[in-house]
Amino acid sequence: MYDVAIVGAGVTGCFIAKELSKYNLKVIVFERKAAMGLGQTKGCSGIIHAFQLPFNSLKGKLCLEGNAMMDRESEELGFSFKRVGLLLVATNTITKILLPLLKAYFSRYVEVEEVGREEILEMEPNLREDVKGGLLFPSAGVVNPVEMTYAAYRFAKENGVEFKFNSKVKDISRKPNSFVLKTSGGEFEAKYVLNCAGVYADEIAKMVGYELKITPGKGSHVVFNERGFSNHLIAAIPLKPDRRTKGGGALVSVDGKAIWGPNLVDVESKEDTSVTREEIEGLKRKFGRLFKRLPKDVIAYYAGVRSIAGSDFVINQPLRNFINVAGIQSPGLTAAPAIARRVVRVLAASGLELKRKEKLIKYKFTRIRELSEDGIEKLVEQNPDYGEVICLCNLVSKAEILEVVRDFPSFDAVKHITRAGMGCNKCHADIIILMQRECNRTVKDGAGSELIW
Amino acid sequence: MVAVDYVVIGAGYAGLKCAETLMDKGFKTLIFDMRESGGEISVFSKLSDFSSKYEKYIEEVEELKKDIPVDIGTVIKSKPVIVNSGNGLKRFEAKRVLLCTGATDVAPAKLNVLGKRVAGIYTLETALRLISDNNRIGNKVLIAAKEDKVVELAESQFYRLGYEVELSELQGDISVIGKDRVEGVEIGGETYNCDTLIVYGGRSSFNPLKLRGTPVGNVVTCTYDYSKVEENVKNFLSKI
Repeated sequence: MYDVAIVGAGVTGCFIAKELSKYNLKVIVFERKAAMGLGQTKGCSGIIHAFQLPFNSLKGKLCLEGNAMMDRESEELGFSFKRVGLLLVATNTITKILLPLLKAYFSRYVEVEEVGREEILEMEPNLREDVKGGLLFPSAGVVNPVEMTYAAYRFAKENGVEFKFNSKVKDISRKPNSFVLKTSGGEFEAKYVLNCAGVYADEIAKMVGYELKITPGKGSHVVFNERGFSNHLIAAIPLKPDRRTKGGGALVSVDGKAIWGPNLVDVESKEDTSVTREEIEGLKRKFGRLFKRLPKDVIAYYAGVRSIAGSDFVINQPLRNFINVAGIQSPGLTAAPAIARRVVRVLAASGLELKRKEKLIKYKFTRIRELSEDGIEKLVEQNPDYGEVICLCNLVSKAEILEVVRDFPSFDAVKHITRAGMGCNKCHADIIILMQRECNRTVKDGAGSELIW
Repeated sequence: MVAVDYVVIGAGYAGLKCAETLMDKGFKTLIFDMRESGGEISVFSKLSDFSSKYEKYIEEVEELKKDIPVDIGTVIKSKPVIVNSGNGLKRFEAKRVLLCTGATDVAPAKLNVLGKRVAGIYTLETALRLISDNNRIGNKVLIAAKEDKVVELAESQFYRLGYEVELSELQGDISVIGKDRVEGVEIGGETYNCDTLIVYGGRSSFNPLKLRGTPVGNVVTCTYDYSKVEENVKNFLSKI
């Protein structure tokens, strides 16, 4: 019997697992894909938001709380996090006039400063000369969302949480004091169930008789290879805000590349991550207007599907000991640590006994690209695989790839966790061949996506 | 720090040829490769159709491999030369650095491959590497490519290995359909039924760390046509 079963190993599920791993509990996580973070998490923009409107909503509060926790989380778990700052730009006289008002409003909740035209152009020389001014929110930041999720997963795993990948939860039945989860990998019994199933949270909720409406909302992005095109997250102050989306921005990735997006497109299918020409042109038009030129060298297009359950996050307990953690769309990545903390409180209030472990194991990430020459030298002495570079674009060694491959024979997991193969395609075959040799099975992200037949 | 006259980065056709000439002329020369010597010519040698087409270069490379001592290691800096390998980091002072790092196929996104990012989409280079290592990458292959002799060669190679192969021009947007794997591809209003998409729209220089040095060979010519690579190497060597 498990104490807690978590359905879904996205950023939400993994951060809750990480938090629960600090206590003497038996916790199990089910994930339908081959690795963690390959659903909604992988498709998001990687932004740690400075704020979310409205401030009094659950997502608004958890966003501020999560943002404030992020430095410690990043340090404790070992994922990269950079506070690059958000620059909201006034592109016309109306929004320029509004700047002091907006600043006064925002400063009640979040650190913000007004910046003049010259200062903005100095910070962002590629912006158009006729910007009027703007607001800088220094607490906004960026992460690699899959790496962040992997870091939480590793921490949870090192500290005793069980993970079942390629395991789809097919049905949940209630017993007097527990739940039985029927999965593609057998039956499991748990006292508490946490529904962190993202776009499929409605299906999981339905298994216990609760109606939850999840609407899939697709968001597409264009990724450019040019690093340093812009240094902040940049968006124009809209004349009329959209209630459903912050509207995306000219963003940067944690390794400094330009990412433009996301848009919001209603889609029929929860699996619709297709990117169309229209969307790409739309994004280039929308954000291209802010700059003197476009960033160089498109390297990728990608889309994610948001799980939208009305206008706010849904964290509730529709029946005793079954907790929905659903509708976690933007700013879910930012809020993840705060959501985890809240869910642990909900569990405690529902009678789960929480006893802190005396000792916790920390997982240490090794990235040769972040090391000095001496650092690499020492590492290679311990393990010669650090001396074999597989991906030259992002300087990723065989050892780093094998570390992921041993847990997940998934190309997407390797790519998103280590960044190998994210620059050009040169090393893709090397990665696939390495995975095939190591695991004798290679998928992109899950069943049906086998790369070698 | 060991000082040498030349460091050659990359031990494919161009790198080996350069190293041979330089060593013959008495220059103190070191040559490095991330993987193994022979570069993509070694890949071609494992594919029957390619091996007859590239016979001349394969033979030359095989001979050179016997004579030229190649160190396996990744050059991560060129001034001074810093090489990362299983034996640790090594540093060298070189009077001149030759970049023989070759070319890589242009990525699918740059060739307007849109739609869903599912399994089964490869550049020609990746597909060839995989099949040269005896991996089966699908059954029904669509090669969407610009006109190039290598495309016909790839077509007959896949056919010989028992794949169904179709060719399409690389024109406008390429829209991929499928849930987890390529199930079809739309190009210019036409729908192709396939499980694998291989795209080829030319090559570009492979030197992602922006190492400094003199580029020689396919890093300059960016082609599958090795007569052009050969010419470039000859030109360079004639000036040494």
